[in-house]
Amino acid sequence: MKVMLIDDSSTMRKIQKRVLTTMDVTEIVEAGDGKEGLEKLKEHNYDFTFVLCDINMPEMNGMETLRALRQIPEAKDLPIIMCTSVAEKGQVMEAIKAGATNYLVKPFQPEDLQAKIKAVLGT
Amino acid sequence: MKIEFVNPFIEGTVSTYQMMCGVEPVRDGDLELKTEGFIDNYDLIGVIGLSGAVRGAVLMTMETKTGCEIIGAFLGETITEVNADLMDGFGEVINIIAGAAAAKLEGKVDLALPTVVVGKGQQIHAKHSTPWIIIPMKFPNGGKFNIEITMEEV
Repeated sequence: MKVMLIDDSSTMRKIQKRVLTTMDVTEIVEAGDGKEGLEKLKEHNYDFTFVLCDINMPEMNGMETLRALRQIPEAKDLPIIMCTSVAEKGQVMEAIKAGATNYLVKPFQPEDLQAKIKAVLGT
Repeated sequence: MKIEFVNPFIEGTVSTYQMMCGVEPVRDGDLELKTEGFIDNYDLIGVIGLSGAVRGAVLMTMETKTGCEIIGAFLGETITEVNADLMDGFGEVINIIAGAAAAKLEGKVDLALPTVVVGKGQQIHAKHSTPWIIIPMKFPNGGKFNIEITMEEV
């Protein structure tokens, strides 16, 4: 599996990477905000198994990133899990409507993240 | 500021530390009320602004030594001094706590990006006259910290 992590917190990306290394992940690409994430996704021709994306970020937030990705034909079906501290129900619904594949609220335990990934991948 | 605003922040703090650091902090004494311009007791301060249905800010404050221990637990690594991991991790924890609390408040509350400050004797102000509620808390190892909130409904 090849995974894209988009989160402005380097410590959160470290925590996520630790969970991903317990799964069948061969490559992890990181970005610190949505703009950098879109650039790296394009560089890799959107060839990722799934994307983990924060919402509250500088430059370009996660909702803007999600909407931008869903406008790109090559990324239309790319699984995107929003992983965020934004837990308000209206925001969760907004993300799902905008094309998020799944939504994980921080704080989470490793098994919560693993379960969301498995659900998205149907494994 | 309504006292009803306090519990979501306590619950958010406890659940965040339980799930992300494996420790359960508890209340450590009575709430305090402070007017703006007070000098904070601690030298590691995380602040996040709140907007939308409310206007205000939430701070998490503690000694740097306590911060190193708890953010080390968050990250699963040892932190012995102020560094990028401490600053980033501290900001992420206050972000998660504020997000968990905001979800329990009425209306849509937007979170600003967190800021972390290190240094003793910081004077705390806010751009409105609502007083600060200080919630003293402690970790099982005795490390103390505060959650400090100023908030008003819009």
